[in-house]
Parts: sequence; C-alpha cells; structure tokens
Amino acid sequence: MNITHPRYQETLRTFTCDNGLSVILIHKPEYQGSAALMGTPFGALDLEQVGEDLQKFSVIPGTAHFLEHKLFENPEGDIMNVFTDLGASVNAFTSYHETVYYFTTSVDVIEPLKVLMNFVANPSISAESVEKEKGIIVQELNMYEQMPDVRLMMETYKALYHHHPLKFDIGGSEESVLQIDKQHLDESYQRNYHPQNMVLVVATGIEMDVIESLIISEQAKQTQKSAQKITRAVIDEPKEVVTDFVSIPMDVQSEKVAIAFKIDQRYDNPLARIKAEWAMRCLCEASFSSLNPHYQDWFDQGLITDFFGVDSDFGEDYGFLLFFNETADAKSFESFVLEQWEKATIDENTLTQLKRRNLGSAIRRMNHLDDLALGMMRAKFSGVDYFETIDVIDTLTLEEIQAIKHVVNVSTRSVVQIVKND
Amino acid sequence: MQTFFYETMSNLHIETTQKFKDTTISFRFLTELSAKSATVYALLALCMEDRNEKAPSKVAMNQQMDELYGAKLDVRSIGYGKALAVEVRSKVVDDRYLDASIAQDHFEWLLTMIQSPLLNEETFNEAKVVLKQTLLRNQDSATKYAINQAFQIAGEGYPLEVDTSGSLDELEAIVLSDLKLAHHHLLTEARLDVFLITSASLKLYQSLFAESFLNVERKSTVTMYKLEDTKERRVVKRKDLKQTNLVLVYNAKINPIDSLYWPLRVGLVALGQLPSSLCFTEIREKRSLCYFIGANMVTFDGAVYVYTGIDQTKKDEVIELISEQMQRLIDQDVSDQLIDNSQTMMVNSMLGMVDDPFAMINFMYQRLLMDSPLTIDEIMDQIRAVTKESIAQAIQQCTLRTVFSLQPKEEVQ
Repeated sequence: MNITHPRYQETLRTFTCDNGLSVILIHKPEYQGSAALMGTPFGALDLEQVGEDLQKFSVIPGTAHFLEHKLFENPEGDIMNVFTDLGASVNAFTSYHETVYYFTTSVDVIEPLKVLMNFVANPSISAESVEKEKGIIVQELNMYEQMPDVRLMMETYKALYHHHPLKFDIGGSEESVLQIDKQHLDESYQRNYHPQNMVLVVATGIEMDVIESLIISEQAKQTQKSAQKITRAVIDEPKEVVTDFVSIPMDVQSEKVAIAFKIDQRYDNPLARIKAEWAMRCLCEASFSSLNPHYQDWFDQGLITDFFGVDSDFGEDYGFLLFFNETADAKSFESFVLEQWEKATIDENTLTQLKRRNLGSAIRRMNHLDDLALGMMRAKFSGVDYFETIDVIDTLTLEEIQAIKHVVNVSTRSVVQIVKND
Repeated sequence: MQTFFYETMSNLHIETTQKFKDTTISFRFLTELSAKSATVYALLALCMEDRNEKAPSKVAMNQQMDELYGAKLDVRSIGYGKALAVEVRSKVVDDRYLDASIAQDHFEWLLTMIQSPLLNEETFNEAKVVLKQTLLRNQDSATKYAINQAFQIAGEGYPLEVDTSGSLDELEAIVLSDLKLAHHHLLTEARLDVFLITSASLKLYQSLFAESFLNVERKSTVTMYKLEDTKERRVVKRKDLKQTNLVLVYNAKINPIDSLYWPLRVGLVALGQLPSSLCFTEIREKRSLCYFIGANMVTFDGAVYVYTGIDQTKKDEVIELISEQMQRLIDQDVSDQLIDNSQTMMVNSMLGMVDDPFAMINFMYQRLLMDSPLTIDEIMDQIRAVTKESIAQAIQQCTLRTVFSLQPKEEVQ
C-alpha cells in the first residue's frame, strides 16, 4: 500500500521480500530519472563481529571497502560496463556504517535494477583480481592521505581511540590492504550480505506496482545463504584519549588544528541518539557560528578563520565533539575553545530560528532522489522512521539542549595539528 | 523554460513546475575575465554573502535567511572563455510546505543583497583575509592545484591561465574603490540573465523583475576564443606527497559553435568519462596504475585535459598510454559499443537535467552565451549523429600543449 506523508508529500511503499530483503519505494511521478540503492550495514567500523552463536569474527581493516571494489567484478568483466550499456551510471561507497551500491538513470530503470540486485547477490571474485585491486586501492589511500582535511580527521580519530575501529581509515592502510585475500573477502561477504541484513531503496517515477513485482520475482531467484544475524562486537574502549597532543608535519600552506572531546554518553534507542545529535548541533550553531554576536569579534581578532567549524557525531558506541580551525597556534585555539564552551548557550529565539533553518534544509534535501533514498536507507538501518528524524527537530526544548552540554567532559580531549614541514 | 526580454541584455527565464520542493533563483552577470577582475569579483562575492545595508551584521544576515526558512545563498564566479559570470544563486523552500508565503520576500531580499552589499573598509579587509586563506587552502588540494598549474602554463597569455577563484599576486594591490566600481558595473552595465525554477506565479516574478533596478539596458561580453598552437611544455613541481598528480592539456581549437564540438565531447566521454572508457580500462583496470583518471574540456577556451593520480615511477608509462588512447580514437580503433555508450550517456545526462535545477540553468546559460538556436532535442540529435570518423577528426585536431606533474619530493627508483 502506498502511504503519502501529509506534511512532506512524499509517497512511499515498504515491504519485505520472502528472502528477508527490506524494500522502500519512493514514488516521484514528475521525475524523469530514477535512483536505486542497495546497501548492507557492513562498514568500516565492523572489525569485530559476533554471530548469534556468539562466535567471533575478526575483520581486517579496509575489508568492507575492498569488497565494495571487488563486487563490481563478474566473470564477463566489469559490471560497471553492463550498467553503461544500459545507459545507467553506477557507483558505490563504503562509510564507517554501511556499504551502498547505487545507480542513477534517466531512461529505463527496470534492467539496471535487475543487474543491481543480481550483482550484489552473486559476487564472482578471483584471487588474481584481488591481488590486482591492491594497487588501485593503495593509490586511493595515497590520494586521501595527501588531503590535509582528511588527514586531520584521521589523525584526530587515532588520537581519541585506543581500540575503537574509528581509529582506522575506511579503506584501511597499505599494510592491512596487502593482508586481505580472496578467502577473507568471501567469508566477510557471506556473513554480511544476506538479504535479511540488506535494504533496497528505489526512487522513481515508474508505477510502484511494476517495481514491486520486479523486485519480488528477482529476489525469489536469489538462493538463501546463512541467515545468521551478525552484530558488531562491543568494544572495550577506555574513557581516556590515546594522546592529548599530536603534531603532523605536511607540505601545506595552511596549518590546521582540531580539538576533539571524547564523549562517553550512550543512548538506549536510535531516536534518542538522533535527538541528542540535533541538540548538540543546535547548541554549537547558536554558540560557535555567526549566529553568535561575538563571532565577528573572534574573526576580527584572528582567533578564528572562515575554516573554523564544529562537528559532532554520536554513534552507537562512540561519540565526539570536534572543533577545527586554521592556525599555527594550537594552544591559543585550545584556550579559546575551552573558554567559549563554558559560555555555550542558546535562547528561545535562536532555537526557533534554527528549527526553521533545519526544517527548510530537510525539505530541500527531498528534491534529490539519491539523497532522499540514502536518508531512507540509513533511517531503516537505524530502525527509525525517516520523517521522524526530521520532525524530532521541532520537539527539541531549551532544557534538552542545555542538558546536552553535560555529556562533554572537557578533560578527555585531544589536540591535533597539521603543521608545515621543513 | 520561458524567456522574457526586458531592456537590452536584461533577460528573465522562468520554468514553472510543481516538481521541486523549493524555488531556485540564479542571477548571472557577465563581465570580462582577467586576473584582476577575477580577484575583485571574488572579493565582491564574499562581501555580498556576508552583509548588506539592511542586514549590517552577520547575525542580522542569519536572521533574515532563517526567517526565509534557511534560504541558501551562494555568490560565485564561473569562467566562460574571455568572460566571467558572477552568479548569485539561492534556494528557498516552496510556499506549499510552509504556513507562510515567502516567495516575494525571498526575491526582494535577494534584490537588496545585490543592490546594497555592505562595502566599507571593514568588510573589504575581512574579505581580503578570507580570500587569501581560501587561495592558500586551494594550493593544499593536490589535484586542484595541479590542474590550475597546468592551465596556467598551457594558457599563458590567454584567459585559460586565469584562476577564476582569484589571484594571490593581484590581491594586495586591490583597493575598496575597485570593488565599488565592479559592483556598479554589475548593477548598470553587465549583461544579466535571471533564471527561476519555481511553482510560484510567473507574473509575480515578472513584475518584481520589471520594476527592479536590475531592468536596465546592458552590454554583453565576448566569451569563446581559441588558443594558438605553441611548443609543448613539460613542467615538474615537487611537494612532499606520496602520489604524482599528472595533468595533460591539449589545444583542441574547437569551440561550442564548431561542427566538431559534439564529436569532441563524445570522444572525451569515450576517452575518460566512463568506466568502460579507454583510459579507465587501459590504465586503471588492466594495469592498476591509478585510482582515478578523467578527461574533460574547458569548453569556452577550446582546451582539453586529462588528469590522474599515479605512482611517480609510472609517469612516463602513463603519459605514453594516454597518448596511445588518443591515437586509438584517431585511428578509429575503438568498439562501436564504446561510441554508442558515450553517445547514450551524454543524451541521458541531458534528459536527466530536468530533475536538477542548476543543471538546467547551466545548460540554458551556455546556449544563450553561444547564441545557439538549437533546442535540447536538436542537440541530442547532433550527439546521436556523431561518428567514429568525426571523433577522429576532432581528436586529430588536439595538440599536446602542456604536461604538468606535481611529484613527490623524494625520487623513487
């Protein structure tokens, strides 16, 4: 049955195939194009996994990303060419939380959708091609390593986390990539790509009955593999940071600093976590963006640059609040952040203003088929309703935002700087 | 998209649709490109985004934008050969999703921002600081830096050498009066095209524009040109990096109005824009020499470039392989399937433009600058009519002008 959201006017249909695949269809009748995403919640954080029988599995860093590269291989060649032949553009990405394969097309969606479902379900990885892929992945890692912003984030995660997999790059390291072999990829695939774990989202103007019938009939052909439910093992991560200061020399023009606070607070349910994230975002926007009347003074005094910003992430088993800036004087920036964090606050008018801003931005995101589809997929993986994650902004109170300040312990922090090398 | 002509070179283009949840507006002023003008307009863009006479502080500016439910604003410069388009673009949520009507307020707010940016010593100096930081930061992006350097060398003496983000060499000498003059030029002389994609009333915007200060007689600026052929130059710069960023710039001597333009575009898709493209297949897939490789065009300058990130020991091999792929296109030694796919992908990307307001606007604007009478359907027909022979002719015209590589400091044997 189709359900049209009364406020956002998006029409959806959701169902589960016999093999366990969860499907979300988004009907966009006026759109010429279509987007389809198929994903598994197997990401770079899944390095220690536990089966229902409590058996533990260790995953080499970079495996989810390596698998993403290798799934595009089929006995006839590269699956990307099949999509090209059908007039569709295909790609994939691996994040810390998931691996997603997707295509967009302005013409026929049926054939590429069949290919998407088929290639993700039927990998054909050869040992020879695994070895060959290592050269490509090492070049990819080298590309990211020469980006100062990416390097700053990576080094910050390393400074914060002793054991948590966030300390590894999504693609792993050259060393870990070289360790990965066909058997490891095959085993990781078997554990993490069962339809029961996966979600398919299609956003299209085509009638949803047509798409639903196709998906059901195609999924009926997919043989069942082990349906063991896999979860991420609990990581015994100390509250303390690994190091409180790191300086990384790079050949750069602009020196950068990050100050990250490690957050120990955990939330019982995903919506509470999402709400906490919104609360932190509102507090930081009110206090550390140009909404704050002092922002101009900070800028004029050279305490911050236009690069200055704040970011926070509340995961299931980790959390951090991060300030970043371009400066050679890490100490002064650290003092500035600590002093201003003490003063961080928000008033009713600013909260109303931010609610409006975030509502507008969430509505605008629904124009983009791929953004909307990905948002739906992530909400499904988190076990929440996509629209609820937007509506939750409206329910934020001043008290909740003030309370979020207390999850930050300023003494558990790391300062990481990128400095000019000699 | 419907076009309404007002005073000379003051045009309004509107697409009315219920499809999107927002209204997209783009004001595009066309002026001459030089290293100085690019820098002056980059500074002006920062001032326009920052504050205006009705919102004299960042806080007030934020308040105004949030009253419009977080209206998005971006002022930027885009190079079109000899010309620079200064674009003020904004998005605002459609009235249908709100309890309030904000379409008119949004347009009027944009008019204020264009007419009365706060231009004084304070805002000017702040913009200078920000632009300097941005330009320095850009140098830390190896790929962006390598492409800019390659264009600077290949385009010496031509607009191709100008970085539209601005120039550190020009920045210090620019004074506030330069910005005021540039702003006056935008308001009174520079060709203006306003694009709107909206569900709101066509008449509303027509009358708002017609009665505004923007509706005055204006002049257009020349855009397309061709580079003269010169001797090939090979330049190496070194940084402390792990990867070599390699850029090859070719002079195609083909403009968008030339008959070989679409054959060249299709040829470039086949060369380096598809997973099945020649460079991707031969250099990445068969030999694992790179993670990314692409081929593209600086449309209004008639220049073509190939860029990749590789291991420095493989540089000569990769240059040779790129040259071999170009030769294969000239020799028509490519599959029919690859050419068909290249044509199909280009046509499909045009069909898909209707789902992306800025893609629609960019396409429409290019056609206006080219003074092209062709409809999208006619252009798609031209793409479909491209043959291996015409691609060979177009690629044959490309002469290698510059090989630029940004290499690691330490030589690896």
